[in-house]
Amino acid sequence: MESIGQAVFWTVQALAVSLFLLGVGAFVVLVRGCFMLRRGTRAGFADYSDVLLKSALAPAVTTIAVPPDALPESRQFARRLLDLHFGRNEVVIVLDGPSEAEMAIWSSEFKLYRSARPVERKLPTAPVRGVYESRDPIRIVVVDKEPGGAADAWNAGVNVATSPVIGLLDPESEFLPTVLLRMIQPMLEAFEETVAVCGGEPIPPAAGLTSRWGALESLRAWMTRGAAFASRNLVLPIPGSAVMARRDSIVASGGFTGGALELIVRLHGFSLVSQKPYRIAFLPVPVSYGRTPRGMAQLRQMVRRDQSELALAFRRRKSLAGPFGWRMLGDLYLDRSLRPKLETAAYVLAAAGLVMGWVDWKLAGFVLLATVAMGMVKSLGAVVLRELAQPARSGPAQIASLFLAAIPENLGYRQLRNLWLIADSFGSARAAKPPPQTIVH
Amino acid sequence: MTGIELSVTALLLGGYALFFGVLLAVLTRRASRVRQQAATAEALVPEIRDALVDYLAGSNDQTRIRQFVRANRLDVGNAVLSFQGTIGGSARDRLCDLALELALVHDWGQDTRSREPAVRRRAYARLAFMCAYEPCQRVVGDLVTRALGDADPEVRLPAARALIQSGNMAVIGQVFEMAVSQNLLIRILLTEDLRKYAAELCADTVPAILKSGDSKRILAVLKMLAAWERALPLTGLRPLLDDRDREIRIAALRLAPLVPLTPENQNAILRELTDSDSGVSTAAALTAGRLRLQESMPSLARCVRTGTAELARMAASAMAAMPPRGWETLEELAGGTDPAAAFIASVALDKARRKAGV
Repeated sequence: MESIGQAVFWTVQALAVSLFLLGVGAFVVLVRGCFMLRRGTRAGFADYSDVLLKSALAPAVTTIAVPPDALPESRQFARRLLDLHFGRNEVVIVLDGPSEAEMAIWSSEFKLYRSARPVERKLPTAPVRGVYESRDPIRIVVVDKEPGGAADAWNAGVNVATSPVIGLLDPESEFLPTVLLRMIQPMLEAFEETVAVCGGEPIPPAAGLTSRWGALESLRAWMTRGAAFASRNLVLPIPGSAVMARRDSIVASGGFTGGALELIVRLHGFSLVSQKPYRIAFLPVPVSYGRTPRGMAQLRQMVRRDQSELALAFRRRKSLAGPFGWRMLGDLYLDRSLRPKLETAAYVLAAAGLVMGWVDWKLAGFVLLATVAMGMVKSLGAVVLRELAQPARSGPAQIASLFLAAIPENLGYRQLRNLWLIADSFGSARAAKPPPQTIVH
Repeated sequence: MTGIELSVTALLLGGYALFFGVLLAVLTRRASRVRQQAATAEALVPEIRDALVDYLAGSNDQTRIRQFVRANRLDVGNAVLSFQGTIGGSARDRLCDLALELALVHDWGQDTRSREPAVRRRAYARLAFMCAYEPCQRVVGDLVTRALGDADPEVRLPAARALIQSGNMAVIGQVFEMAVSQNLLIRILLTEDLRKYAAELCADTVPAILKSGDSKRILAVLKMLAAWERALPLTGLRPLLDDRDREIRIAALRLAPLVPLTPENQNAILRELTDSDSGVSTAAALTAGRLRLQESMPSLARCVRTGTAELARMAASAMAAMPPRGWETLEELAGGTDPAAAFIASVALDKARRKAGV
């Protein structure tokens, strides 16, 4: 019995130290993100939208959407894409195996007629049944194809697109009509090298604790995957951010295997394998951001969606990015997969050890410091470091409320979120299928 | 051991939390001050603008403006800049003269030496606006000329814009030559500024670059000229229509509708319609349609029957732009035996008829 007690004691001690070190690592990444943001803010992000809107030299952009149904929300999203300000913006809507009724709804919504537009077969997809254009003076192309899944539909959209640049906007985000005009600028600065641009800001905080926790979650992800990773040219999109990528790069890398996150991982991997100079730019301006979660259910949904995408990308890292997969996703794996498991184990063992008398109060306190207090410092740090890098973006009351929300976030919600992250990682593992094409083995 | 770990961790984390708390207080205070300043400026700039509008309308009373300059020099600068693009001629000269008199131009000249990239960029952007006025050009001329070779592209851009404002064709020619070797963003921005000098540039500068043999620069020039979307007095396009580089051929074909149509150019376009490269022949079909080249009809019809889907579609669109002969040919193709060609022809015809209201 005594040996079990000793084992538990040392295990808890080791877990606490590991968690503390993981926390320090995550905090260092936040600081790096702060420096990156500060450099960008000091240099400024010039806005030449007025000139770009009129210019015939600006490359055309095709915005692709894959609506799952013909519900008013999906049609509304298509309308929002058509309202984007850009000289030559074409919207491609890919319907993945729509029923006759759904097709009829889309046809009447946009007054579609069957088009003679050719479909290139640069990326393999399920057969395309028909391509339609609108009789109205709007640049929309609707593709009716056999069912093949979301990634297959994205690839069909790339095949149909005629523009050199592809725009991807999250249906669950708020974006400005000028998003394409702002996003194209980093690409135009180095068109040959820039294969993609990820742009946007974290979710703005709203009233209510769950909204603020959502905002904190998004802020940490934005400072890590956006700003900090940008300093190593390893930018990854966060939920709600807008993505713009060169069509030739998408085709060359083998197309979509999942969502925008997997695409960007794939583009990084392909470019690194090619050993050519490249960059995926990060544009931290308020052109697009995720919707603020209202209530625990929406917060849960937000966490699940992000975690599932990350878990899938991590499981497919070798096929997506070859030997570079771990370099891109390793930090995220430690923070989003390993840490929640270690932390939950530490809580359970510390609690059991306390009851059994194997763990003293000092060690239990150390566990709490390495998890709860470290979490608070990270969230408080994220708020302060962002304010340091991009001053006066929010009002003092808003900053203070977000700052204070970091305290209750780590007293209950953090532990619940750990369980969510563990559950979603396992769920994704079961759902994961190998992608159709690989880069490097 | 655990006690030491606990103490060190608590000390570290407590220290950080305290540090962040203090930092937050400082930053919140700063944010509050910045927002207050922004709110003040927002309220003040319309007042400054009103005073400037009075001055530009002919009033010689500078009392209010000088008061504003004493109290809010930065905001006056912003207000002056807010007239960019909205005034011209004598009103702009009067405004620039005022900025010179109030030593704002001098301030901005000083700002160009700042270590902050944002301050330098802003200073050059302001000087670029001022350079439309000849006395200002004399004051900052060397500064902007030197800036044309600056390492920061966001400085080179306003410097180039300032030099364009001078109206001196020799300098504008230099800016055009500089522009063709810059990144696409700068090319786009300068193309808009250079548009009004299109005819003059086509006299010497453009032909010289087109004859340079540097395919990258030639391609950039052809795209810039096409982006002007205006008639250009440019001769000597034919060799480029037959260039070995397909990108140059395509860019030259896109420019062809904007330059005088010579028999040589027309023959080259007709020849390109049969080019083995479908990208080139598609561009040729587009050009033939824009120029309404009746002579291209047989080649276009062949493209619809035998070309790739994109070429066939473009050729059908070109024919649809040439009624009645083009429509008659499309009708024949729509009734033909080749189902793909018939479909493409009927869609193009249907679209053209709808557009014409027939």
